[in-house]
Amino acid sequence: MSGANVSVADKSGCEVVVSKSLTTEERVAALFETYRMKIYSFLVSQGLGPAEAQEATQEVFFRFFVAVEKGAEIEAEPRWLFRVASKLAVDYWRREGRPMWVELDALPDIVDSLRSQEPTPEAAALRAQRLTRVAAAIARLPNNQRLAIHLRMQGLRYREIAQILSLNITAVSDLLSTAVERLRSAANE
Amino acid sequence: MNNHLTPRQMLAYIDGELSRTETRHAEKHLHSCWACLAELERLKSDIATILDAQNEALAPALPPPPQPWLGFDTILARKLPAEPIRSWQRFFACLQRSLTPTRSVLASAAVALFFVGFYAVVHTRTVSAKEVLRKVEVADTQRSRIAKNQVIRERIHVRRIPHGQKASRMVRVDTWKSPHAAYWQVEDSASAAADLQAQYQQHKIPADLPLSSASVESWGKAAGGGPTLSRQGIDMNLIFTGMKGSGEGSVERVSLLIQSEDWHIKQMTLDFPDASFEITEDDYTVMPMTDAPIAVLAYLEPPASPLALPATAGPVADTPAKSMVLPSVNLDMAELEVFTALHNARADLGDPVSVTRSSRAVHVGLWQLSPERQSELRAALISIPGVRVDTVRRQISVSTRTVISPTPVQAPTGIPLQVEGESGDEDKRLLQFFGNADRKQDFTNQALGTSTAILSHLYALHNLALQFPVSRDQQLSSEERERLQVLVRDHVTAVSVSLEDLKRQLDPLNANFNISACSSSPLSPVGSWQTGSQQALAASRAIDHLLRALLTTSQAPASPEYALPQINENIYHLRAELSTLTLPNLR
Repeated sequence: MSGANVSVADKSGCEVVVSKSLTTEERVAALFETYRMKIYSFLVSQGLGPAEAQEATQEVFFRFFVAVEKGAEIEAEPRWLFRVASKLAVDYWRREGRPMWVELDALPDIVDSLRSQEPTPEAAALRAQRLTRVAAAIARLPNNQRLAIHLRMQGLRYREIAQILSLNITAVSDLLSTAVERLRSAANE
Repeated sequence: MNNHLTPRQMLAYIDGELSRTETRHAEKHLHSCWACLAELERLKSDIATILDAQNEALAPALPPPPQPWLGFDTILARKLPAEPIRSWQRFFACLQRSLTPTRSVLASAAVALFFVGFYAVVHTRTVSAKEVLRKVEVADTQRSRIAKNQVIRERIHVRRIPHGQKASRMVRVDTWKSPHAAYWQVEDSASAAADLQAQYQQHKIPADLPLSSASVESWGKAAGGGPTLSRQGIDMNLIFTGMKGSGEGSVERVSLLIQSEDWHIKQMTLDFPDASFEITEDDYTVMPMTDAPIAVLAYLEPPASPLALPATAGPVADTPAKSMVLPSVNLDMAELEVFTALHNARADLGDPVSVTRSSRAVHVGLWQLSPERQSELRAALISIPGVRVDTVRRQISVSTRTVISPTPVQAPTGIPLQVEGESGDEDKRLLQFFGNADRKQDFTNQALGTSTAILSHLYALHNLALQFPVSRDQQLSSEERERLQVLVRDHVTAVSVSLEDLKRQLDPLNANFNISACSSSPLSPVGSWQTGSQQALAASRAIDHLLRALLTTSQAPASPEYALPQINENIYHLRAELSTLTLPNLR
């Protein structure tokens, strides 16, 4: 397996450059540890069942491994991973051919977690209500809008989102704008 | 400036996605337009809220992975044998990077041609049809090896091509196998899958997954003749040729498309005198038995009870195909029955009950209720087919759809009303009207109680609208839709009654402060009951808000002259919405 320097995100999300020369397997294993839950959550929020999402997550990293082994030079690793995960999600929608619903058990009661950040319990409750409304609205977005919003949250540019969704950039811009307006309405209900 | 930035332009500006010219124009406009500048800041703040909602509310609610994570080395060990990375691929990639695009294309084509030719020659010489069949059997044995508590789902699509006709029928089918039995989930007895099932029965092909090596071997024997092998692209084509014209129902040919990389059967085509069946595998999944739909489990794990389902299952049995198909539970109807039961128990008016739906059941979560209430609701729900009642919170491991409902009503009945004695000038006039503070408080409790009752029904209606949006409503059967409409009408009637009560309660106040009836123009008709319920909820929330501003100590107190006309107007709107919602052509 070829050696490579690796740069992965630590728990705080900061990029950490590991100067040691790693084999491809070690490099992907480190990425797998760091990003597997993010990719998994992303896939679940795109409507894949937990079992399918877990399998697809492993597939994403396996494809990464294969790509690197075949000589691909991948610099922005997280973006690459999310791009592949998105394609798997889109393939899944097309294969399943049915409307997808985000799997939510129940939105958690987040007042307690917000209490320390807000000046008063009332403010915490209000903010929790607001976030819960927006979260529910995200879950209710149409597939394309939800995927576009999630990809934008992951830092993908309109051009990259357009490639994944097989749309043009104007359509992506419209998609994002519509989604954001819907979520804003929910936030300011 | 008139040319304000559109929401799309603002978002694209924040995202840095405008062209240079567009960015210059946007900045120029923002320097001169405070309205757009303020809106831009609000948009930025809302984007932060969206991110927080994703990270703090949505992400923690997602179900955890059903299995512990494997180490990456284990994943590689599992996947690599099927797709080894060959050293020539690495060399090829390095070569590609070092060449110019044109040379790269030419060199790639030459190298690829060489390898493909070499690969094809070597393999066609060395692999025989019998060897391929043996490899198929080994590969199938390996992948179908499951534990006692696991099942296999082979998702296929079946295309029936009648000979001499252009039209063909195609259907997707889930076929299942457990250590005990196999079962084809054929929903429609007139589909191509049912016809295929009949062929399996007629030729006494074992009950198994349709593309298993056992099925294939049996079909090969049914066709007779030795197999011949040819290459089709990177796959292999193995054909058993039978005797043509040997009678109705005879097997003329069995063709298998086999993936050379893992020796799995990708497609099987069965040719009969009157039609051909093309069976293609879409997906092959090994899963825990608990993840299989209830209706399927009944076949895979036949219960011991003599009242239970037939002990044999699958496409081949002495019983006809139709009798093997268990009527699957209609989860839409089950969900509607759950809502009806909750409605009858008045649990949809604010009880914290969650209704979630997986691919195989409707789960009703009662864990937030008192034990007494749990027992009451459990008794009402337990007899509904396809419903699981949970009194302890649990994670639903595999769910295809989840419904968050009923949302606890935000102003549930029983909340003590805060009516404090603080009085301003307006309050003095109200106090004077009522005579004393006790009477005023009685009135306030009564009016807000009625308002809360209206709100709770409208929240319940709103929840129904969220669970059954127009797109889903339109897919319901007439019986299901009728059931849903009964629920809608029930809530509308309850709201109408309470609304008339509220109006009567407010009449003396209106008369005292010389407030006349509402004179605004009627509302335009709503597009659907879902939209109507949303508008009705907005009007009732406005009424509740104004009542509290008028009658209780509020941060924003309202005078009777301010509040009463608006309350009347909203009552008027609400009545109009309700009359639309109860129209016979309720959509």
